[in-house]
Amino acid sequence: MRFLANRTVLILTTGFLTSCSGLSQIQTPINQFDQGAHSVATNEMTFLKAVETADCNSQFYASAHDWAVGKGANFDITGTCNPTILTDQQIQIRQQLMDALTLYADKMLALSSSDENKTLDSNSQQLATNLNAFAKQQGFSNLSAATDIEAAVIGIAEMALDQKRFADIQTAAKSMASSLKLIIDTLKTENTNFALGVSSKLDQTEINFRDILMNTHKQRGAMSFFDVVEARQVMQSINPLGSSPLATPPSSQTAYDPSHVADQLNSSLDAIVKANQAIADGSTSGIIAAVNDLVTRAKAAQTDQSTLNK
Amino acid sequence: MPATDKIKNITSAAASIRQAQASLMQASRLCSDPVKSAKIFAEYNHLDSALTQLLHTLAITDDAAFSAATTLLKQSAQSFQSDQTQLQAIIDDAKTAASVVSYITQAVGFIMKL
Repeated sequence: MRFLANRTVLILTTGFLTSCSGLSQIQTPINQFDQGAHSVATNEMTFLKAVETADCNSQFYASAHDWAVGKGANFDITGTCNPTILTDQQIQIRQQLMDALTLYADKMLALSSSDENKTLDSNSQQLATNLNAFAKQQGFSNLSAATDIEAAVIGIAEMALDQKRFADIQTAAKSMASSLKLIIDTLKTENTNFALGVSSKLDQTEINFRDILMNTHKQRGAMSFFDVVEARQVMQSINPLGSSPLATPPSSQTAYDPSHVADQLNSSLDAIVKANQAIADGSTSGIIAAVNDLVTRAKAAQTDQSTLNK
Repeated sequence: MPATDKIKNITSAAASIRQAQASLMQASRLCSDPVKSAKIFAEYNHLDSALTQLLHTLAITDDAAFSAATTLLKQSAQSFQSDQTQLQAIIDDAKTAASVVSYITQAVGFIMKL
């Protein structure tokens, strides 16, 4: 009896996700899933750009320090830098990974619509074609797990271009779950490590300033008060993940900690995987709950980043 | 492509180096001697270079390039061994010095497994 009841629920749920009336009801959470994925992608790219900026800021101050203490032959005030952690090209490659994630979410939205035509618009189709070509040319070769990532991106791009194989969101979510998880796990490992790199660069600048301030104090005595104040003003704005007030209690400083920002970003990436799993499982209430969680986490990460960048 | 265990060792080494840097940072904040401060800065820079090198190695997938990068990392790691005596001389607080040395030893251990 209980088996029959479960079976009935399963049939009803599956029918709900694929029938016309069900589609219109499921379209709202899938629309939110799409928006959430786009927000997370934007946050990820902001974070990666911040990694490069922290690296470049640190290089500028290190070069100025070396010249000031007689270790460097000259100084450079142009602000040009050669990133050592993450280059523009590497950021561009990760942009393609984010494009794959958003393309997938866009296709899910198209599949959930009640329209006969479930294909993506021409711009998205072009993006999918380009991504497919990029992955097939081994464009992700400088990522860890490159071969698997390439296969995952090709899978997603082909799914986005598909017009027959994926007729409903549940089948699509099941088929793409492992590809999605692989891309997200790769990004999460990188985010955690890049956050360490950002922290290292920020502290490097502080130690750099302390070294110079000790020297100027010997020469300028009490007047070095103003050197300390000026150094603090630079330190307030040096973190590309957000500027800080003149002085804050330790409890407020975690907001500016790169590892904290990476953790938040990673939890919003995880929320994409969980929302996709809920779609694959086919329970409408599960989808709504997981999508709400995704939207909340994406918004929190976005709010934090925009607040910090003010 | 680096195997999963190698990626784990790189990640663990990076985390240990960052812990050593955090302890060094504390030592710098407590230091009022310009000579020692300059030495702490030099040690910190050494660790920062190693961390940057590790983050680069993490992204390498070509086996030959990965092998070359890990050889370089192991060479850098060996130079950390000689830094340990220096660290104890420039960090006034013995507990902090021991903590920096301990984290560096952990990092060297992970790097040597690569």
